[in-house]
Amino acid sequence: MSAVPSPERIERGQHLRELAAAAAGPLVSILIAFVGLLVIIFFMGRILPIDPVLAIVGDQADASTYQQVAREMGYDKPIVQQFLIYVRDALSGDFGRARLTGNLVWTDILSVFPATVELATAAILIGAILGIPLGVTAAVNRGKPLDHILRVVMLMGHSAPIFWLGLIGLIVFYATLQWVGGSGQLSLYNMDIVPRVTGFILIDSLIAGEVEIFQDAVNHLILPAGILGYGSTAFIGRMTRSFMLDQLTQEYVTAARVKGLSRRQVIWNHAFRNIRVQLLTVLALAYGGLLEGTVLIESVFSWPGLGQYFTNALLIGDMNAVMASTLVIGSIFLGLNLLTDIFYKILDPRTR
Amino acid sequence: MLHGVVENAGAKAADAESRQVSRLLSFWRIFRTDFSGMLGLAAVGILIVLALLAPVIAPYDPYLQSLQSTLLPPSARHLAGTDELGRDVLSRMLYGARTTLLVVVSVSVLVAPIGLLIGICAGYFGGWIDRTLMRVVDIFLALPSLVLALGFVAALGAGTENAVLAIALTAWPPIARLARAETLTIRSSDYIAAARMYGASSFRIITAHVVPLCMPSIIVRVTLSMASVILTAAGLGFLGLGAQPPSAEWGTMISTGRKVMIDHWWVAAFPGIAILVTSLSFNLIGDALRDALDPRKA
Amino acid sequence: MRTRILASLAMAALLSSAAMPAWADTPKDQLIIGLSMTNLLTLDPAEAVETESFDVLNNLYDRLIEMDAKVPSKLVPGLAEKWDVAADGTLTFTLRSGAKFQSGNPVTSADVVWSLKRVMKLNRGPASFMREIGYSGENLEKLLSAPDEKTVVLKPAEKINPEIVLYTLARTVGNVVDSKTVIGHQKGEDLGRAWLTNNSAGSGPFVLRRWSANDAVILDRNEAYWRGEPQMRRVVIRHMPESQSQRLQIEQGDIDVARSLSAPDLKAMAQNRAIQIQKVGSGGFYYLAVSTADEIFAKPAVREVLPYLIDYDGIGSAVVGDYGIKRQVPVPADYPGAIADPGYKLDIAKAKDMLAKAGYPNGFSTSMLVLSDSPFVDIATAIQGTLAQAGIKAEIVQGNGTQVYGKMRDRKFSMIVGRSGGQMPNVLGAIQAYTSNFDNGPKSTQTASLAWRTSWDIPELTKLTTEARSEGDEAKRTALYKQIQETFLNTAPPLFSVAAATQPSAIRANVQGLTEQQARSPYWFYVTKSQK
Repeated sequence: MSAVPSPERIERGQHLRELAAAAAGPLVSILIAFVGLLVIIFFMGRILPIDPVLAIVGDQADASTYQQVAREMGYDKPIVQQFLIYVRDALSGDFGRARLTGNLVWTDILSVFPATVELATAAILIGAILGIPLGVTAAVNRGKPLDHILRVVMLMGHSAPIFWLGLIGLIVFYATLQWVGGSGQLSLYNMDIVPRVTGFILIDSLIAGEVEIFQDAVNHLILPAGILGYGSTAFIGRMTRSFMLDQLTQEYVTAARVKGLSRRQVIWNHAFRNIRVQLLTVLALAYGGLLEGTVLIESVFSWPGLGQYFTNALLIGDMNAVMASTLVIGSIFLGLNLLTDIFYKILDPRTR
Repeated sequence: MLHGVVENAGAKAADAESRQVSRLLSFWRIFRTDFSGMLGLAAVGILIVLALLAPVIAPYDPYLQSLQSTLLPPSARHLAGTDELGRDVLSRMLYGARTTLLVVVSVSVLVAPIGLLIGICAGYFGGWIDRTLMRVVDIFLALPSLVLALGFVAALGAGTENAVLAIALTAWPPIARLARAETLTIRSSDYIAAARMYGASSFRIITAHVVPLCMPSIIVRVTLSMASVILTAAGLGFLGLGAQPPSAEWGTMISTGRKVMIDHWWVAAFPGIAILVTSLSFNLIGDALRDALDPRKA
Repeated sequence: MRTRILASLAMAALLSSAAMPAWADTPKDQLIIGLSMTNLLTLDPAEAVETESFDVLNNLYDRLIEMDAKVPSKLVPGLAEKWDVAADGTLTFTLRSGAKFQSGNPVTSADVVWSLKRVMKLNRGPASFMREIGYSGENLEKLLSAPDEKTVVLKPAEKINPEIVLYTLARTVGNVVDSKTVIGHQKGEDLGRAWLTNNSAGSGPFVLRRWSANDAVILDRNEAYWRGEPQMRRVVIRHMPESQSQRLQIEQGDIDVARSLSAPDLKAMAQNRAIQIQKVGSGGFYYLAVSTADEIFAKPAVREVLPYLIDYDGIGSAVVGDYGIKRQVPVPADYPGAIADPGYKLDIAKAKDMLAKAGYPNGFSTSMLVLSDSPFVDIATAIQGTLAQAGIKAEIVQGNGTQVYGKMRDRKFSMIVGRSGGQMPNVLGAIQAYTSNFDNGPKSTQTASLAWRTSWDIPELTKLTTEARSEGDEAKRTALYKQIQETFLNTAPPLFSVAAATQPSAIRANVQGLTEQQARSPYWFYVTKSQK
């Protein structure tokens, strides 16, 4: 045990410091953005045309009840103080009660969130499985008719209103062809049979050993996830194409070809290998977009997730739930942004 | 002497403007070769003509109900069939094109000046103004725009105007960022320095020189976001937070058509196709624009 | 390369799983129901005011007496095995033995008394049903008693036809809750309200397992139910706001009952042998209401035009479908004492003429509030269309129940398309909301009265309605009923019945014991399912 650290230790220390430095910049801006998010959402709750106090006390209440509730809700305090109270409550997970369910909003969100994550994750897998090969193919065939056809096919997914695709998909694949399950996460008679452990029905059904319920869940997942995933194909494919073009014009590609490597080897083993990091960041960004997409698709498929919770809250103007859902989705967005930035700083040789 | 400087600055400004024009021209030359981009442009052109001529070419009054002829399938009399209240779907789609374009134009008209103002102020004045404004832009860029738009419509109340406001609220930041970048290049040019030396006010420099030079790239950027504006507006309409009945709006039409979709596919299918085609056209234009801006990737 | 293999593996896994047939009928011991739950806000019987809540509550709780499932105007024993009506209107109920709550506690007269008093103490929506027949929190203390564990005595609060009191007790307000259990879950002075919103403490055939708002209600059977163990092990009710998705699912056999289908969807399924349609008369009406506090509609001459601007036939056939039957008097045509339709017909020319005489030759602009549900929107849009032909521009403003009826209760509206609920299966129950307005001032307690909501001051009609309520003699009562309906139509009412509301449901053919039910809330206890 010498007092002088070994060269590896020094190197590792340096590496850690670099990591920290790489993370610090984005972290600060994300923190600022988070505060901004809180401000925006706070004001969202204040421009409401409905008087929030009145919504609680009801129109039969007299002036003294009204004032008492207004005091309890902190509406008599200066706006900055109200904001600070909001931030304090939000950070401790206190978003008040949802008008619709009567539960704490936070409890509601925790219970619906896994369904959304399950949907968005399946969708990003489908988006990547479709988008990356298509993007690579388009890059390799740049300018040829295939490039244009692929572009239109991918852009279609990005241009079609997903709620409309969902409706058509239900009629074609569920009602007519009977290939997939209908709306909802499970067949109704399978609801609430598997005990809730993780909240993810795919995992919970396997834990409980209910293979049939697992299959039922996959059957219901495949269509909404497919439509969402198709929607993200355009973005993923376009970025893949663009990254690949960068690589394919570089010298080593020509060199490798000269060396006698097959075209396929060059494309997948060399060029594609080099863009993996970039693609990861693209996927992270696309994932954020998918979380947004769930808002519309969940309402079509009666998917019991955050998106449906959010739209239901919207429709009855339940601002507690609206604000909390926005905050949750916004925070995940920010988190993904942060992740992307750090990825870039650490893994991309050019920014290092 | 002073006079000469001013003249010189004037000439340089004219020169910069003509360079801008030639940049646009070369840009157009690249764009023109892009087949799918041109296809999109043609489709949007047709759409605009159809929307403008809607009162003339629409075969029926889009609001005229006829409870005797509800949900008729497409036929020679009603090319796209009728809806659940006997209104002609084709006519409603044509009028819906007006709503959609109106939303797109209103959002653009709202967003471009706001984005320009903030971006130019940040770029032109620099320092803490720049830092503060760009922070705000970054915050908005990092947020989920559809969710924010929905939240704001919920707070403001449903309706076309509020939908436009909510979408605009989330669509200005990319414009501001671009305007700032453009301003930074323009600001450092000689003729701006000359104009400033002559004593032209910041206000005058901005309105007379910076804004016109920023416009082309801003227009391009606004076009890029149109597809997503259309989809967001349709999504709001679908959720019942956009245009209210009986006004003809594609998203709202799908939302009502959904109620009869199994037996009467045309009521929801046609507006959906309309949204798809329009948004695809804008996306194709956008894609081609992006390629034209970065020719290496074409 | 590895990515490709992984990708194809994932694809294969997904595809093989999707290829598994998952389309068997629903299990034989589960009843699966699709329903729009937007209005299901609580499962506390002392608080629930919506049909959707009543449906569920009807199966979680028991009442002293019940409306017969098949002939709802007939009262049958529930928790009370018999009851007695004294000459002065005093009601004496004798409880059956053997009835137990889910907790295992026996049902006693103390529970009955506590439950009714709880309704009045909480003083939420259902309390108004009791107030309508003269009871208040205070007088109930004296008028309601339990002389022994098996006997409940209820004295009348006013001169009233006892039938009306019995009908009231057979409704949700009469649900008997397990007082010991609820008291155990009391928070402060809330009488268990917070707990009962999401839990059940009844003696009914089913027990609440889970309720998530706008998602699902799941009931398990009560194996110790006094009528016997229900055939259905579970009842799963799923929130399905879209009629078309309910239809898809019932056609595929994924649900057994679809409760909120649109008129066209019902019509489309009429030919489907696997599905039966049940139509339950509700005693309620789809109406167009105008506010007499509105500057324009204050003029009787303007109100008199409106019946000629409603396309009754078109709405009856194309718009409401299975949801209603054309009717121009707010009393179901088959009730004893109901009068015939006055025979209004859409007549634009006549309406224009009348409008001109009323001082509006070019029509006017106004707004129409409407619930954003089927068939309300469709009715409103149809009326909007015919109004427009006479130059009346009505802008439609959609909203949810709270928004629309909230504005109506505030008496701040011009026009509203809404639906009244029949309170008892007789003429009075159907029409009283239209013809009774004791106090036209803003502080009136009669906020459920449509006449009050439209600011329609009608002392004479109100008097007639009150007389009909307390009249014990059937012949005299029938005469009064006729007089009320005719006077209503002849005094330029601000309320126009468009169609009698019926509640249709689609039911899979292998579900038995439900289609023939006519009571407004279903009894799932009687349901059995056959193998397909």
